[in-house]
Amino acid sequence: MAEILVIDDQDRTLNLCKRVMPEHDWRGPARSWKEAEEALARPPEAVLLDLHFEIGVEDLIGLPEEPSPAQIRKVRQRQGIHILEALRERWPDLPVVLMTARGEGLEQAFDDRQAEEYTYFLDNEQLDSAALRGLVARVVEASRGAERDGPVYWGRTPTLRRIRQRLEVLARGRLPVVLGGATGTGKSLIARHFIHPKSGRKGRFISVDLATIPKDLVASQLFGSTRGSFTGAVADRKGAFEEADGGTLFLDEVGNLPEDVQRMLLTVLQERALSRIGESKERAVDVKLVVATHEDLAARVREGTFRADLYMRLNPAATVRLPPLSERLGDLESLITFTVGRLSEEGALMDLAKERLGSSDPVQLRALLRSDLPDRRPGTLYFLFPERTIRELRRHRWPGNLRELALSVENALNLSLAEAIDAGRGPSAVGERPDVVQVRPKLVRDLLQALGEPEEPSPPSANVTPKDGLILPIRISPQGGLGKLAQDVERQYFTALYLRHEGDFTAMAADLLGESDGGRKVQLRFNQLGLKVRELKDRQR
Amino acid sequence: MNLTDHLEVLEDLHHDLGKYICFESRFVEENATDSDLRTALCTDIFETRRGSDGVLTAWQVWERLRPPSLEDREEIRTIDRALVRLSELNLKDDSAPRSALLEARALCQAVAASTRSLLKVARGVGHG
Repeated sequence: MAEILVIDDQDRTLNLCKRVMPEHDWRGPARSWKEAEEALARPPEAVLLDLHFEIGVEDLIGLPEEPSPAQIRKVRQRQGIHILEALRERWPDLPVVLMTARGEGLEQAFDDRQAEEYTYFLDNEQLDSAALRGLVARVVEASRGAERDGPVYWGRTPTLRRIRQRLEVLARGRLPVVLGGATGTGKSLIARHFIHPKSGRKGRFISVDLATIPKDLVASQLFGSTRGSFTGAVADRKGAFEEADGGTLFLDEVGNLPEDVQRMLLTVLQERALSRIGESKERAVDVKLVVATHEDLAARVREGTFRADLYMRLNPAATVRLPPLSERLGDLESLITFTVGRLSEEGALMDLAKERLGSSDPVQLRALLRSDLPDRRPGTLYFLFPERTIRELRRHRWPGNLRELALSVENALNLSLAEAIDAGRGPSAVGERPDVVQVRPKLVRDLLQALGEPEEPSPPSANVTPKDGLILPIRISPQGGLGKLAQDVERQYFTALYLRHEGDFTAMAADLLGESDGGRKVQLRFNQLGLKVRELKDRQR
Repeated sequence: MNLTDHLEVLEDLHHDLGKYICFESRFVEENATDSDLRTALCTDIFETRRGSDGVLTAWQVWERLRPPSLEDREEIRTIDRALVRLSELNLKDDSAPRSALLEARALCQAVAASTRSLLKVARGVGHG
C-alpha cells in the first residue's frame, strides 16, 4: 500500500483511482497549487497530477501580470505543468505522474520533463485499468527503491533527500566522512547500512565506539599491538584499521580520542599506513574512514582539545549533520510505517501476533494510518494509529530521536497487542476485526510521558497478558531510600491498575489478589499510598 | 471548412466531453459485473463534468459546446447520433441488459474518438 496524492480540480480521478487501485491510500484531491502545497507538507510516496485546471484566476499559478483572457485560458490548460515546476523546486525527486495525453500540444514540455528522472507521463487516451495499475505500481516501486536502503529510512522531506544524495557521493570518494547530529539520529546506522554498501568496497565494516573504550586501550584497539608491548598484550593483535582494510572503519564519538591517539590517527591518514603498538614495521592500510560525533569539533579545536591538523584531515567541509526527529516530523507517519515494517521483518511480536490471529504461520505486521480499513489479508495484522494517536506522537519532543521512536513504537505495539488479546475482542472503534489492533492515544501518551517528561508524573499504562501477568512501564528516579523507592513503584502500579479498571476496586483486587471480594482491602492500601481518586479521574479525562 | 478557427471550442469539447464521457467506463474490466459497468457508465454520461455551476450531463456539455458551423463534419454527426442513442438505452434502469451496457460503452468511446479527431484536424495534425 502506498500513499498517493491526487492533484486535480475534479473528483473523478480520485474516485477512479480508489476504485481501480483500492490497495493504495489515496489522498486529495488538492484542487490548486495552494492546496497541494498544504497536502505536501506530509509528503506522499507519489503524486498523480492532472494537466487542465478549470479553477478561479486567484488560484492559478504561472499567470503573467494583467493577463488577457487568452493567457488565462492557456494557463488553465497547462496548470499541471506550472504545478509540476513549483513542486520540483521543493520536492525534486518526488515521483509525479502527469495525467495527460500526447497530442495536447505539449510535446516540448513533455520532452523537457522526461529528462527528469522522477516524472512520468500517462497517455490517458490509451489507458486501461491494467496499464494504470502497472504504471502506478512501477512508480511506487521506483520511489521505494530510492528510499529503501536496508534499515535506513530516508523519508520524503527535502532535507533528508538532499542528505542522502550527498552521502551517496561522499561514500564513493576517498576522503573521510564526518557525520554530525544528536544521539539517536541514525549516524551508526547510516555508516553501516548506507555509506559502507555505497562505497563499493569489498572489505569489512568495522565499528569502534570511542566512548566505551578506556583511554589507554584506544591506540591498541585502533592500530593493533604486538605481544608484550604493554601489560596484558599476550599475543600479536590486529587493530580496527587492519580489520577494516579494504572496507570501512566507523569511529563513533571521535571527539573522545585521546590527544596522543589523535596524532597517531593523523599519521595513519596521511601515510595510509600504520605500525602496531610495540613494533616499527609499517603496514599499508586502505580504509574508508567515517567518523561521527555529537559535539561541535570546530569548537573543540578552538578550545585546544582537538587537533586542528587532524580536524582538517577529516574533511570537515563535507560534514553531514543528521537532523533531529523534531526537525523531520513531516516524515513521522512514514517512519512509523517503516518501523512497523522493520519489526515485522525482524519477527518481533511474533508470538503475540500469532495468538491474536489464531495462526501458526508467520504474521506480517503493518501500520494503518487512516481509518479506512483495507480488506483482510491472510497472515497480516494491522496496527491502526488513529489521528489522535498521531497527534500524541507529533506533540512529543523526541530527545532520543529515531532510537526513541523505534522503542516507543515497539512498546506501543506490544502493549496494544497484549491489551487486545487480553480483552479478547477487537477494539470498539474499528469493529470486531481480529486482524486490526488499535494503538490508543492514551496508551501512547502514557508511554511518552514516562520516557520524556519525568517532571510531570504520568499514569503509566498497564496491560495484562494471559501468560506473563502485568506489563507495566515503571519510571525510576532517586527516592532517597529503598522504602520510598518501593512505595513510588507501588504507587505507579496502583495508579496504572486504577486507570485500567476505571476505578473499579473489586476488579483491581481480582487482578492483584485473585480475590473478588478484596475491593476494600485494595482501597485501604490505595489511600495509604496517598493516591487521590479525584486526581486520577481528572487524568482519565 | 477551416477547423483552426474553432480550435478553442474543439479543445474544450475534447477535454470536457471527449475525455470524461468514457473516463470511468474504459477502466471497467471485461469480467466486471453489469452493476459495476452500469455505475461507471452512469457517472460518465449523467455526471460528465462538474463545474462551478454544478454537475452537467453529457447532453448538457454537448449543448454548450456543439459548434453549429461544423454541421457537415462526420464527427459531429457521429456525436449527435451517439448521444441520441445513449438517451434511448435507459441506462439508469437496473434491468438494462449487458448488450445495452456494452453498446453504451462503445458509443461513449465513439464520442471520445470523434472529439479527438476534430481536435487533431484543428491543430493541423490530422486529415481534414
